[in-house]
Amino acid sequence: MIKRNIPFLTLGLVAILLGFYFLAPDKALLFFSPTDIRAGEYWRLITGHMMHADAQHLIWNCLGLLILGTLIERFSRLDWWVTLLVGISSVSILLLSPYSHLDYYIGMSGALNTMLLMALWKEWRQNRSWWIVSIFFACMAKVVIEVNTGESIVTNISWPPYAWAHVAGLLGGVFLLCSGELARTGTRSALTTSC
Amino acid sequence: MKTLNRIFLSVATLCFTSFWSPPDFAAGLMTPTDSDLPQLSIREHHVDVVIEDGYAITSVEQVFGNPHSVDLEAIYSFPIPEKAAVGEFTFWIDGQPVTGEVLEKERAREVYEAEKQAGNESALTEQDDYRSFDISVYPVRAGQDVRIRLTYIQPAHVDTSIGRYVYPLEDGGVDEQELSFWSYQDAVEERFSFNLTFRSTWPIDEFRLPRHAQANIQKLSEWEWQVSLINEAASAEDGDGETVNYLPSVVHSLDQDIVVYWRQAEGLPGAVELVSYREHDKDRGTFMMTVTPGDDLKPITEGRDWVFVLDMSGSMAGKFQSLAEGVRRGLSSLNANDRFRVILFNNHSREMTNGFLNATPGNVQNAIDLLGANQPNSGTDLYAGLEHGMRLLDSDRSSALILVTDGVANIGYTEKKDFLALLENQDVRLFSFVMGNSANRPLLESMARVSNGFAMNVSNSDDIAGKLMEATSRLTHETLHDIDVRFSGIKVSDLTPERIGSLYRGQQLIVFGHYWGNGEAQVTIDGKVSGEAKTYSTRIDFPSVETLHPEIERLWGFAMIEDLQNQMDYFGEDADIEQAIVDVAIANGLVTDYTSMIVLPEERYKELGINRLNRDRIEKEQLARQERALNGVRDNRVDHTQPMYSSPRAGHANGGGAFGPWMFLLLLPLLIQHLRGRKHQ
Repeated sequence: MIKRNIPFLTLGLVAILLGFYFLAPDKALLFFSPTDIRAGEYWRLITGHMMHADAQHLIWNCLGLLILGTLIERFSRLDWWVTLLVGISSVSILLLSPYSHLDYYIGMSGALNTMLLMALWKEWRQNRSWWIVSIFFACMAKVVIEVNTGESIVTNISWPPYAWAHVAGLLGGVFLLCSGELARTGTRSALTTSC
Repeated sequence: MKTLNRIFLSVATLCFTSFWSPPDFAAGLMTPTDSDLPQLSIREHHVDVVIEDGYAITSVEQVFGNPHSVDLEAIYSFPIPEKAAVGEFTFWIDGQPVTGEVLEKERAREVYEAEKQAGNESALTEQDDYRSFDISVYPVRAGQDVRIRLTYIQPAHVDTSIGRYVYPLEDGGVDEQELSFWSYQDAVEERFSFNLTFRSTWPIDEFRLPRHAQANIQKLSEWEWQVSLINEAASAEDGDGETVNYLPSVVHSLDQDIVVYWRQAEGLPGAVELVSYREHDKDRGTFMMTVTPGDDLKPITEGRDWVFVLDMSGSMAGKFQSLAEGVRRGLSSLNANDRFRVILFNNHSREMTNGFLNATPGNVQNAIDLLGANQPNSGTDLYAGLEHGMRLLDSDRSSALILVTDGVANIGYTEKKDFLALLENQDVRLFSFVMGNSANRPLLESMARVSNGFAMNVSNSDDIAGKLMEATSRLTHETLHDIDVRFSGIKVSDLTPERIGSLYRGQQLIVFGHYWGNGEAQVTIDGKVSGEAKTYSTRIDFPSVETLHPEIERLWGFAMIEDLQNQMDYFGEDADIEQAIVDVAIANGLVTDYTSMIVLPEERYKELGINRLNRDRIEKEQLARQERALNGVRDNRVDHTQPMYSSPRAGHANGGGAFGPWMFLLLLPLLIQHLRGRKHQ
């Protein structure tokens, strides 16, 4: 069911990203740093995803968030929250794992990939359009190219690109959709059995 | 580790923010010796930098105008860039460029004064200790222009895979007498250009000029980049080759350092590079070996005692509020089991904290309040501050001194040997943050070397986050101590630096020396990490002939003079060492505390019996530069077959990801689809 509400959550999150970018007095204290997080600076688990390296980094992520956040929020505000949290968690787990060698990470794009998958899924369920499938494959192709080349496509931000965060975000999305479907199937079976 | 990160974050913040306000003083200008006359106008200022094969060559060409109705003598003064060897000064006499020759300081001054008395054109370049290079020019004709060119060479280090080049323009503003001297117009009236050509053995991801967003950065290939900052008039001339009629307007102010960063690609190996110079008929060659270690130093986890030693002299006045804020953040982020003291110094030192305090919230807040009640003033008794900071050190705990200063020691003990003796008697590491271009860098660097710490130079134009990462990276990891470099299989001598000391994570080891013979040699680096012996070795090839890098001889000479100067710092003035410095400087054409560079009309060199050694050397260097430009990028790595390190070099390993325009274009149809669907509903 699509709602016509103003996407307050999405607009609020965009405002927070802008606030962090323009108002944070000491940005380095807010970066995602596995070493500092292990030492007790837990706020970095969240703030790292809200920080951006430069204006280009900020603008593109905010535009992506505006589109994806609005789409999901129009379906369900609960889904919006769950998707954001799963996205941030997926990227954080990767960054804290032995598979990541990064000292510092910033940016929303990892979590945006979780939102991307959720938004595509919701649109697909709504419209069953071939457009959705095309967009899905184009997005996957972008991520595959970035992982293989180690470079961002078209974008040129002042920090080195880290495409594995996008992969983590997508995996988070897959987890979310699978668990959502399992829960729904389970509910349906339970209802059928009880009927 | 948390404590280290936070402290150095705060200190780096302090360094940057404390002199974040726009600088008031500029350097590198020309002024009449008659102080009643206003300064000469800067008509043109052109900087050409070539960074390749591990060193940077900077040529600065300036045109000054004498607006007065009388001929006059003028002084051109500029801050000494870090580790810069000045080997070329050219003065245009009768429209022709004439290069200078190096003589002993007193003799050069005598020649200059005699020429001036005789009314002859001449120029003299002298080094004013660590402060500046001062160039006297006579005569600057009434209503006419003066053109000069200065060239210096310096090693181009890479730290944690980030390279940094600074063209210094800001005066540090630490000398009260100089403040009035420097308080004048610092604008280039007609043309300004800054061109940097970069060629590297290693692929480069990106270039960055943090305070010069208008710079044009061109990537020719992963190994070759160009950076330019050119005003419009100069660009127009470059484009069509025609003369441009300039309007007397301000086009560029010489009041902000130009800082350039470059970032190496991720995952490059630790490696050994060799750049050498040896002529066809010479037995002896000169080399520069650059070792970029693999990232094999482990993180440190133990806690420490921290002593903040803060410069509160008058020159810090405009920076005090930011300094207090930086210290507040540093103290606020200490762990409860850490301890701290805060020492302030100006004419004398005083402790703010009454011994070590546990970093409890109450103690920290008290210290912050007390610091806020202080005001900077008076002179700089650096010795008193350091000596005070070293009291009460607990031998059972690791201790570190964090010194933040922008000035010079001008009260109390001021001799370098006294400072070195003070540090040698204590088991404490000194980490100095050297702010601006006028600090006594040689003193602070020597102290850091003696204590196995480091001195980090900070410019107004540096990136705060970048300097933070650099400091944090060094201090959160083990250090390779007591380093010794050995060569076998070939005769190698005159190695410099004589004492290497320590290597922190991400730092490169750069060694100069002479070699005889040619062929393969074994090079071994010994050191200790946390008391355990470590050895790295490889085999490298020394060439029989290599003529592309004559500048290596000057760089060796400069490094050797630094070593000799360090010896005098330890053992006091010594006539033999002074003579050795003079000999090395004259042989390599270098301006030092004991040698100066004189420029005379060609015929006067002959009449005065001055050999044109430096002119010949400059010609050789210019030819080599042209040849290098034609050849393009070279691979200087010499441990391909037997790599010295098995792990990749250290990097800051930071990353981020952006959705980018590509993703935005993909999402637009999704949005349209969504809206259409909604409408349909």
